[in-house]
Amino acid sequence: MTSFIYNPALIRQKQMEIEFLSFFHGHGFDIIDLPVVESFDWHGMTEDDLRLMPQRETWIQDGTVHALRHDWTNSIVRYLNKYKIDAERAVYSGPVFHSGNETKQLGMEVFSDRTPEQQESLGLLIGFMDDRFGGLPKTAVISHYALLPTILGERILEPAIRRALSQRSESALKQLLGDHPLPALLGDRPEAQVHKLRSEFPEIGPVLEELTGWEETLRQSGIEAVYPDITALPSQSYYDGVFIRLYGEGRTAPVASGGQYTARKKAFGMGIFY
Amino acid sequence: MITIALSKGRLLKSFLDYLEQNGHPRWHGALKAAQRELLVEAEGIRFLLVKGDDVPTYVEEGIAELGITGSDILAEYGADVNELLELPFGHCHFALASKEELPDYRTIATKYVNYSRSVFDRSEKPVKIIKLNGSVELAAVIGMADAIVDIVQSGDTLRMNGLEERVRLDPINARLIANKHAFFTKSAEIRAFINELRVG
Repeated sequence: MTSFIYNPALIRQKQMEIEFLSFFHGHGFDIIDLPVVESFDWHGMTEDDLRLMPQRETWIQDGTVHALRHDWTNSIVRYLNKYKIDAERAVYSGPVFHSGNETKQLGMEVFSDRTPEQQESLGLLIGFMDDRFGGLPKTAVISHYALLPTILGERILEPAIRRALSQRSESALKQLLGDHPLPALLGDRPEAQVHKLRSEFPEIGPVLEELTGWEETLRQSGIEAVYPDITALPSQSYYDGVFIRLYGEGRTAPVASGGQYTARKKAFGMGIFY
Repeated sequence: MITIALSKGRLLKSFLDYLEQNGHPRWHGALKAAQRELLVEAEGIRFLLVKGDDVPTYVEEGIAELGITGSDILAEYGADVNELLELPFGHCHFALASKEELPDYRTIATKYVNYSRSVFDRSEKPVKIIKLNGSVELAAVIGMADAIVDIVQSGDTLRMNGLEERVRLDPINARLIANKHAFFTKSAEIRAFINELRVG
C-alpha cells in the first residue's frame, strides 16, 4: 500500500517536468497548456490531419472526431492556425499518444524567424539534457526540407520516389531517376554528401550554409557526431526548414526531435520524448 | 564491429553461391563452415543467422546494423528500415497456383496475407484469404482453398503436389536493409561491407 502511495519514480518524473518548465520560464518562455483531447471537424481536416489519423487514438462522438494529442508541435500548429498567440516563446510538458502507446514530451517553441534566437533555444534544450536529463545526446542527424524540392523539382511529389527516398534505396532511386546525381551520392559517407551536393547543385548554396550554421550550434553544444541527412522528407507539411534528431548512447530512436516550421509565421520547436 | 542479420536456409545458400562466384570476402569461409551455429564472428563482422521473417525486426530494433532478407518479407511486413540495395541473388517469384484452372479463385491460402490482398485488390477481385504458416500447397490439394499464393523458385514443390502455376506474380530477390540510425553512425562499415559484396 505504501509503495502505491509513494512512488519515487513518479515523483522524479513530476519533478523533472517542473524543473524543465521552470528552467525555460527563467529564460523568458511562457508556460502553456493545451487539451489532451483534440477535436476535428470531418469537413475541415487537412491532408496533414488525415495522414496522422491512422497513428492516433480516435473516437467519434456527436458527429465530431476526437483524438488524443499525438505531438505537441502538431497541437500548437493547429492552435496557431486558429487563434492568435501573444507569447514569443513557449514551453510545455505533457503526454502524447502514438499507435496505442503513451509517451511524455517536454518541449519548447520559439515563434520567431530569427535563426540566432532559434539556435539559442536549441542550445538551452541540449544544455538542460546534459545537466538534468541523463546526459548529452551522443549523435545528431540534421536535414533541411528545402533541399530535395530544389534538387528534384516536381518529381519530389511522385509516391515511388518518396518511398525510395524514405528508405534511402540506392537501387530504387537509380531505377527511378536514371543518371540523376542523387542516387550516386547515397553511396558516399553522409559527411561527404553535402560537399558533393554543393558542387553538383550550386543553387542550393544558401540552404547548405544554413545547415552548416545549425551543425555548428550542435557541435558547440557538445554533441560529438553530427550527420547530415540529404534524403529526409517532412512528416507534416508545415515543417519547411531545418529538422534535427538527437540520439542518446546506444539508442536507435531519437530522444529529442524538432525543427523549423511555418504556422502563420516562421517558428522553431523541439521536444524531448521519454 | 558491425552486426548483420542473415536469413537462414535457401537465401543463405544463394548468398554463399553468389560469394563463391564473385570473389571470396575474408569472412566467407567462416560463414560457409557454420553448421547449426546461430552466431558467427569473423573479420570484425558478427553474423546473426535468423529466420527470414525476423531479419527486419533485428535491424529495426538496432540489434543488427544491416540485414539480408527477401523482398517477399519486406513486401509483407513493411518494416521501418532503410532498404538500401537490391542484391543479385535469391531470385524467385510470387505465383498463384492451383490444382485446376478456374475462371475465378475465390479462396486463397497463403503465408503472405498483405501481399495477396494487394494483388487481388489491384485486379479488383474480392477473395477470402486464409492465413497459413507453412505447407501452403496442402490447402489447394485437399480443397481448403481454390488456389495458393506462394514463393516459387524451381516449381518442383508445386509439381510434386499436383499443382500448377497459373499466374506469375511479382519477382523476388534479396535486399540489403539497414537500421535507420546505423545508416549514419556506421556508414563507413556499411559501405565497406557493400564493397565486399561487389554489387553493381
